Amino acid sequence: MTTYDLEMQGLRKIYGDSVAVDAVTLSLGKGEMVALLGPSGCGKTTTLRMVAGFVEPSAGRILLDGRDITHVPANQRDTGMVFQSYALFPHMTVRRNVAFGLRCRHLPEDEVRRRTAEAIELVGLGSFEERYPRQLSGGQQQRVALARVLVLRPKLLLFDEPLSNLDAKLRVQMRQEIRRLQKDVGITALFVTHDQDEASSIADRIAVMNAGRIEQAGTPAEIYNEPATRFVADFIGTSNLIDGVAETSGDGRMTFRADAGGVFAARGRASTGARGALCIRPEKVDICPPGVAGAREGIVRRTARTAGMMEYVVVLTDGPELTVQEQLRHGIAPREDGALVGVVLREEDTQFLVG
Amino acid sequence: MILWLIVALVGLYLMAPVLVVIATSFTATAYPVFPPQGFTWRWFGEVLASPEYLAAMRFSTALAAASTAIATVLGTLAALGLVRGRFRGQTAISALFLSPIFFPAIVLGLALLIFFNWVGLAGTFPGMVAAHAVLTTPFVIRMVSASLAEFDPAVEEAAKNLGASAMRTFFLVTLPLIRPGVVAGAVFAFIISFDELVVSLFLAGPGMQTLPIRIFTSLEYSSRPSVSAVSTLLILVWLVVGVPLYRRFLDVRHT
Repeated sequence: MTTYDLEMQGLRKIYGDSVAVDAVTLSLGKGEMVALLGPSGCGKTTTLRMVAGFVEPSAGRILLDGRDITHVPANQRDTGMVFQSYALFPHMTVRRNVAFGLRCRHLPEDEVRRRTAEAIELVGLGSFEERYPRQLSGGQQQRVALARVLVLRPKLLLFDEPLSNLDAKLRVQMRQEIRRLQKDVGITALFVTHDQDEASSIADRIAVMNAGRIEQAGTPAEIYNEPATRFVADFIGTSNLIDGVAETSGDGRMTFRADAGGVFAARGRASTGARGALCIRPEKVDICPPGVAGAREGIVRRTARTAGMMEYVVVLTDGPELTVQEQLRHGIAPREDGALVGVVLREEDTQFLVG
Repeated sequence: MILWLIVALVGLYLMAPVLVVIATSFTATAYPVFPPQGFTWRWFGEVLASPEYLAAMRFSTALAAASTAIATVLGTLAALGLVRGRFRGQTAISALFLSPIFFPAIVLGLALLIFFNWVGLAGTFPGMVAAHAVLTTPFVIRMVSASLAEFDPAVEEAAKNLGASAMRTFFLVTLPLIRPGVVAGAVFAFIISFDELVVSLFLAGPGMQTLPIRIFTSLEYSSRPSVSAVSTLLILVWLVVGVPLYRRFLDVRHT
């Protein structure tokens, strides 16, 4: 037995002369939910479809529970997939939809009936058994799609943007429900989405994909706080990215000279002269009156108010521009456009990214 | 108002021949005249009592049924391949499969006659069935392709993902969902085969008389209102079978 349930090793998919998925290597622990997150066309869905068996990999291996399933037909893989369009059988009732997979396994009729009823109960659709999919709301159809795969107790759950057809409120509710069901049944799951909030709230780990490759895999906090690449820093949340070159480096700490001017202390490793960018999250910059010890000075250029929060663009006296967020607490007046302010950048919140 | 007038005029123009035929089948005269003189059911009785007409109806029914069965199976499979497949020359093959619709029937009839003489099928029932299947398969392909185009391919993937074999997926998921197209294609194939004259004239052997051939030859030798009566019967069958189908699948307002 391996400690991993699903292992993707060097997965590659080439269509003609374009590489859709390139060297994807990712392992999912037992019961873990991992999100494949990335913009459209990044290869996340192709990766999922290779695992499901709908797309033949050009290279690489897929192991499920230690068994090589790279060339196993889709209908013998023991994976349960929830589709973006739900893909319910429109000519079958909820009950027959859910029973479909059990019938394919030629189980005794009383077992089919019992497990079907249990699965429908599990997703809270007990009174909708005899309805047809077109008579159900989007959220209810989604639950049927879930029940249809959960009833089979597959080794792996696959979700292909399952919430993108729901309205915003229902989407948040279904996230929690899918997360709860997945943890209850303890089935390993791979979840494809382009929505970072969805990925962060539903998954134990996130693999951020770009141009066919995994740029970084880690917990939502790791991805957010320690982005490994410029793409990840830019794609996840908002970041200040300041271009420049590394000056001195050692012991995981370094100094950095911005193209726009100014020298900054940062976390990271790079040889002297390496080009890259500093990544600073807007909410990790402190804004203070000018003249505070250790603070840089700058002028507020643009202000924007969001709920309970002010966002400023501060042009540092050194040169670079920074977007800064400040919580509006009682008694704090918003900064005026053109005001001179102090800005505190902590070394541990300032990360150097190569490229 | 003007629009309604135009619609009415075009409708009259299209329907007039049909109305004339129906009217003349009730004439009391011994030859078809319009407007009809008097009223009688006599010609319908003559048709239904005529062994020639009844034999021709039976023959046409058998021919249409057999060729429809073949056309439905071939057309459905061809549509699946053409819509689902990804292969070189797809457009060309698609056009080729639909070409019997556009070929002049007389060319097709001659070509089939020459070919069937060579392989020994000319003048045989299987030969006529095969020829009619050639004529009608494109209609099945068209109808089934239209059904397939509206079909979410993810549904078939879902079936496979749930463990269904290719056969099970086809019979339990794909076929039920494209059934309207298959049924429409089959009914059209049947009607077209039943109605076919030119190709049948080329290929019919001695003693093989389809209903259209029977009507055609009746007109050559005699001119009795019974020909109008049999035409009226055909129109009636079309109204009962074809119109509901037309409304379901071909109504311009639905496309």
